Amino acid sequence: MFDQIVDFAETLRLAGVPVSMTEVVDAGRAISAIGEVDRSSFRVALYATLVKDESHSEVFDLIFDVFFSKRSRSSLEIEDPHGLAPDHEGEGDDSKGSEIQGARDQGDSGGELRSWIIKALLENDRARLSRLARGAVARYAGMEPGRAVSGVYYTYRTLKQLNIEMIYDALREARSGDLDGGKMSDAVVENDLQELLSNLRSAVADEVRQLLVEDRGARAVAKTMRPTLPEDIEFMQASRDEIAKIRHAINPLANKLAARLARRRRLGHKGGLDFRKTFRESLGYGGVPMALKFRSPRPSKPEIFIVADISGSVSSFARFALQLVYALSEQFSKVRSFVFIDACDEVTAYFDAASSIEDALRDINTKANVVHIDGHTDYGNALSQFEERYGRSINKKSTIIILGDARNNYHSSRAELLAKLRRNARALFWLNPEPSNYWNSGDSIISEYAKYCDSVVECRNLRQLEEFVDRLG
Amino acid sequence: MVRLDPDYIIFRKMQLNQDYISTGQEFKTIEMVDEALLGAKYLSNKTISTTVFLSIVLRKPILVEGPAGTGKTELAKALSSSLGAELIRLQCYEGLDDAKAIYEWNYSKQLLRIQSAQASGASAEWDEVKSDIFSSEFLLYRPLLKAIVTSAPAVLLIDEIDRVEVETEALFLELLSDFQVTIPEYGTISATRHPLVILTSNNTRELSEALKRRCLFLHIGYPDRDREKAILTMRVPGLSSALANSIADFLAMLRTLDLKKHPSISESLDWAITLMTLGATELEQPMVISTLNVLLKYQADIEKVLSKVS
Repeated sequence: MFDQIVDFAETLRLAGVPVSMTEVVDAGRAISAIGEVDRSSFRVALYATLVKDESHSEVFDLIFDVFFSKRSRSSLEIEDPHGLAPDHEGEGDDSKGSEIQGARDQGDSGGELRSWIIKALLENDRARLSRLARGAVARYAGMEPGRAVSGVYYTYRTLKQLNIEMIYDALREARSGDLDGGKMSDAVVENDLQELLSNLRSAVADEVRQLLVEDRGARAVAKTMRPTLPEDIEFMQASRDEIAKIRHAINPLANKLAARLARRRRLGHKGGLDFRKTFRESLGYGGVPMALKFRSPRPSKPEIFIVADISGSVSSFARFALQLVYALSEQFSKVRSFVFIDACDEVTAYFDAASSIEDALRDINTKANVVHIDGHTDYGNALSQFEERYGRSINKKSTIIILGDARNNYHSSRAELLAKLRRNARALFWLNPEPSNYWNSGDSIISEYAKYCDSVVECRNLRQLEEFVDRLG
Repeated sequence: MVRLDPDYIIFRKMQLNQDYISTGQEFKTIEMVDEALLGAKYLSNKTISTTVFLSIVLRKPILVEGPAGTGKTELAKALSSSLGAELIRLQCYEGLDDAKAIYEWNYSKQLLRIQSAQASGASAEWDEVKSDIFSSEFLLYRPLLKAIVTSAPAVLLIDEIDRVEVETEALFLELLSDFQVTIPEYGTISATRHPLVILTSNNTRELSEALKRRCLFLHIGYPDRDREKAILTMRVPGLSSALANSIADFLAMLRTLDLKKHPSISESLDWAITLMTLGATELEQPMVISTLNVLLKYQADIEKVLSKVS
């Protein structure tokens, strides 16, 4: 068991969760202390000792499920075909069980299995659901032993074959008794159904994972699953689920950053020496400056001009950067935002008008005027429009932040405009979501712009974005 | 196979040295924690009870995090009442220092002692006076020291630790790992009886690694449906189970929406009481709409939910 915990901790570290040696020792003490208990207490014992940050819990759960499965099993075969059927209604006679085994590759409609699953979901019978998921995986997933895969595809294939839409419809019909036509009960029932479906998804995913672990061992499987903390997910390669994760991680992050920036501003450096006051005070000591007097610190909040490329390839990055800056807008004296593809448009008003950042981002996508000719990114044209229309509002208090990958589709760079902007502004930063070793390859012309930037910062994930914003405040 | 990881070696040592683990005096099993908390009208769950149990057995403080209003402080109160222990509370704020958190010398009393020694004649030796004025009689006990010296069972609640500066956190480290306090003029005071220590944090800043390492971590999030229902039924007498059911369902739905502030347990309790007072027997749309402001604290959130339910 201790072997397993050491491996487990090691895997957590690989995934980016900081686990110190004393914490591993605590984990060992904890499981000795609770003794023989159920899986959930065991999980808590490890969680309480090894994890110290709630945002790590998803990665923890993932790895925990790999290492300490819900049940242990020895073969890929269905050992208990009877177990598949609901035991109290006699539907599950032997013929059905073997039929499931036999029909594995024959693309049969699987109506029986589906109806059992629906029943198990409605009765919230977890044990039976996981037995049924086992059957479904055996039948549909077509797993090949020995392959170093994460299993996402097996899960997807199984759910697709089970026809999750049909299951949803059936569930909805079964619950339609609860509907009274009102929108409120509708929303509640819908939420309920989504929960049931996610139960099914996780039952199937558990099953797939279980089989993979039996095939290749926990450590290897955990490695191929590449569990990633939200702050380490790369913006440019994030899947839809991952984008949702980043979105959820941004607000707590913004709160922390805001508290840090505000505190730094409050406690930060004193103002300069107030000579007049010091001298006046010294008269009381016969002209000896006993106590130095300082000016009260005047917190200087930067004024931010954020100019974001929202073309397809970098749109998710722009979105997160905008979201973070707006969540922090109280820390800046003013935030003005501009978006471009091959034309540039100011979108500050959308953020002011919308009730949430989500709404604002949606408005930007539908309303902002960012396409000039063909909708292919043109930094040169966007810059010249920005300079022409808004260049005059830039002064020595303004910090300009440009978000984009500087992939200009071989248009002209117009880098001289950037030089002009830089001269008038307090600072000019460029955030590039691409890994720095891709810079200047292909149509990326970041180095032409870099000459006129205070710095070009690689911003591939939330962690790097956070670092940058922290320095900005 | 020979394993040489440092972690592993320490494990082997521990296995040989099993009595390293002391058993809790009050709770023998996790279920007992459950029951005790229930007796204090705090409905626990597996995570909370197990962590509390481990905290007692391993003698480690608990760091509790979670959204506002989910019962972090309440847990400490419930523990103190179910253990029959004194609750010693230290509210953290920016600018908290050791004089407010741990101890302070009672200067005026020390001064009086010196003056009275002078008045009574030269017989008092300086050494004697010196050792006298730095004795426990002249100490002012602040919460942390109080929690250490008390011989009765105690629960020490360090509330909102994230409000102090990172540097101030260092004040707590000695206490949290060794249950002792060192006073330079006096010496080291060790706990005669380990207090149960609960730290809460609203997660407004990253706590230092040193602090986190010394604690067990407990995250109390929003309750799931069953737990919410049970809490409602327990805390709001007279609430019908059908209504509790609908409230829990409705709140579960709200918490999946993208709101600025999701309603927590304290808000759902307020809401249940409001609905009861208004004489509701089931959740009806007009009444929900007119009382949404009890649940949600931002106009934008209220509007979002309104568009969803009507």
